[in-house]
Amino acid sequence: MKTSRKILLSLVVVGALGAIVGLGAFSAFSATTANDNNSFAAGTVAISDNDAGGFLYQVTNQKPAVNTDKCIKVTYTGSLDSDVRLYSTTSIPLAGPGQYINLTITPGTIASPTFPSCTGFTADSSGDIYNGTLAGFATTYNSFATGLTDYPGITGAATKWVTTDNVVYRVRVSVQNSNAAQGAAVAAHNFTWEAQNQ
Amino acid sequence: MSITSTARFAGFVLGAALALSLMVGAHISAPSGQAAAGIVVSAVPTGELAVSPGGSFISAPQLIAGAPATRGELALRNQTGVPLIVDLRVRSATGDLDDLLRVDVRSGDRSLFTGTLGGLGSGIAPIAIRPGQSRRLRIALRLRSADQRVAAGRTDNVALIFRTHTAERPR
Repeated sequence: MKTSRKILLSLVVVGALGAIVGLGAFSAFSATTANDNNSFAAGTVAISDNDAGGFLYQVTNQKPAVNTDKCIKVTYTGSLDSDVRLYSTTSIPLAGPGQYINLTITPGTIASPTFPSCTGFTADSSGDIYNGTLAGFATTYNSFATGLTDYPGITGAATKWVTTDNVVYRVRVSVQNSNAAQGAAVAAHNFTWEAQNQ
Repeated sequence: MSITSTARFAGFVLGAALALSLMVGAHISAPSGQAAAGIVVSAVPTGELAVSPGGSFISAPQLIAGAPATRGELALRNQTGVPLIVDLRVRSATGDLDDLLRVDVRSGDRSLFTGTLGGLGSGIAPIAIRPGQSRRLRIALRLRSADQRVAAGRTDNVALIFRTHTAERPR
């Protein structure tokens, strides 16, 4: 093979390699678009109190017109905005002994509560949310549908419960100063706070 | 095969290798910067247990591997009338850092947990808190040096969920 032919072939090879290199260097341009990280999670509704399974009160042999004050802190930890209503699922007849037991429920705050103490309780300025008889409460407010609605803070300040909202409720019970109330006793009854998302 | 042919073949191989290396080397490279990992840790109170501060107490949007640990502290207060045994679990939004993030949970001088974020899902050594008393939890998070590349750009939002049970039956 002549020298000139060899040189020509070498140039062809070098040119081909250069073309390949050029193709490799400049063929990287591209573009994509993506929609990443999709996810879905349902919200939660969760409410709890600080009773640890204990009772608010178990009063025996009470004198008339003596108040028993007990406090319970209710905390909302769900992620969804909710309504919270208070009611009792216990049947307490209006004409029974429960008509002689006075009941007052007052929302407020305690800086460092310890169930069921009311030490340090400060009532909301809007006052009681219930003031009547135990029988009247249980008869009127016996389900979520009929429950007593309350929101954190003074009445009207909030229209929903949000995560970590909490309210301390002072429950005050006493027996009426009436001879008809002597021996009045109402067996185990409950107070229920139920949350439902808005 | 003659010596000339062998030399030509070797030359061809060398040339091809050179061309290939030029091709690879000449490619426009991707950006070399790596995004940091990020995490937000929040604590959820319970009815029995007050948690302070509420909400998120660790926010680390730029976790860098090998950097000093990111720390947060919580106060837990038993607001019931009975002693409580407290445990915690984690609820992770993405789980992307479960195997990468190292977690250390301490109460005072006592180590309650050391391991990965995912391992924290199995709980910590339980702690007892008397009625009306508080305990402080110190939590430290860090990425191991070897994990930076894997962790880059990953984020998570983790909630600490406290679980309690009474140490004795309520009176």
